[in-house]
Amino acid sequence: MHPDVETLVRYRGGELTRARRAEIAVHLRRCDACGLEYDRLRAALAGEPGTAREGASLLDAAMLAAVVVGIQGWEAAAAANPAWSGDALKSRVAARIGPYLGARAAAGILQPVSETGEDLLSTIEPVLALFLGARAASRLVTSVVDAAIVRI
Amino acid sequence: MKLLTTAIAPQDASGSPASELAERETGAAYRQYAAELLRYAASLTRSGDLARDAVQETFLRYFIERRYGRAIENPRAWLHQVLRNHCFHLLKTAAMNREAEGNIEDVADQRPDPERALRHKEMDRDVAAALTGRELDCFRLRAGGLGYAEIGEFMGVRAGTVGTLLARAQKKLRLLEFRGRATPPPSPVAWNFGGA
Repeated sequence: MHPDVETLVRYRGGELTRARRAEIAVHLRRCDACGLEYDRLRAALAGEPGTAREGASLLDAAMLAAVVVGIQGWEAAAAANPAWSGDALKSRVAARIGPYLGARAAAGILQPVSETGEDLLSTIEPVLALFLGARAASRLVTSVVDAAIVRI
Repeated sequence: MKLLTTAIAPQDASGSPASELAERETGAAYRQYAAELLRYAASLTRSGDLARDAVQETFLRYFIERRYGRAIENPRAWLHQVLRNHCFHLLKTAAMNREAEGNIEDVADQRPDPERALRHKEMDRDVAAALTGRELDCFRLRAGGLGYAEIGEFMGVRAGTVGTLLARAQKKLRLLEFRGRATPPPSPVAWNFGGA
């Protein structure tokens, strides 16, 4: 199976088990697409000369300002819109995870989540992982964030 | 540094403690990883503008997910994965926009020719019907100007497979032409299957 970018970053950082590192090393030698992806990632992480120039020229105060504006804009919108917290948020999340856990179980899991939703994802992900496995649960949580928070 | 810390953790924050914590974490992640993320995005998109957009979106996403309590064990790895997804989404959108602009230009020709416009619409339909899903995706991405390696990365296949898919698409489209149901599209890029 082709390792995703998250795995390749961990591989580069020496964070995987020995067996998994060996498995990926073999795969990278055999798979052109993954080998290319890894070479690109490695160059970016190491700040190799060809890439450092591009990175340095793009990373400036305007870039940081845009990130800050994005965050503050989102916070202002969330503060003004009740849909981003409380029962409205829980209801949307329940609709996404209900098909996997059952509607009643989904509601039960979400019931103790705080009004502000700050413990929402840390509450649902471990439970989903018990039923679906860590990887599938992670993907489902990402889709929950997309559908119930980012794209409303 | 001062701009970063004061900007990301504003003194007059009206957000919740969760928001403030997420802001500080995002600031820390920015300090550590923004440069390498930009390098990575630039190598994927080959566009400074797209790279910056993708990195900005990635940090905003990081903020949102931390704000709602997502446990991110390895922020560096997570950020790179999310960034890659954003980059390909932006590339796909750009390719589709270029394709749409090409179609719109044909339809909005300065010498209006409704018959020609209709023929092009029929051709689009014939092409979509003749090709498999993967062949059509390959064809459209190639028409959008992406190289073999980029198409391969996007579709998760080798560059050689991209060549095979495009060759098959070309063969099928030639058959359509022979049967008189379609004519070659006006843009030379769509038919430039040679080379990566």
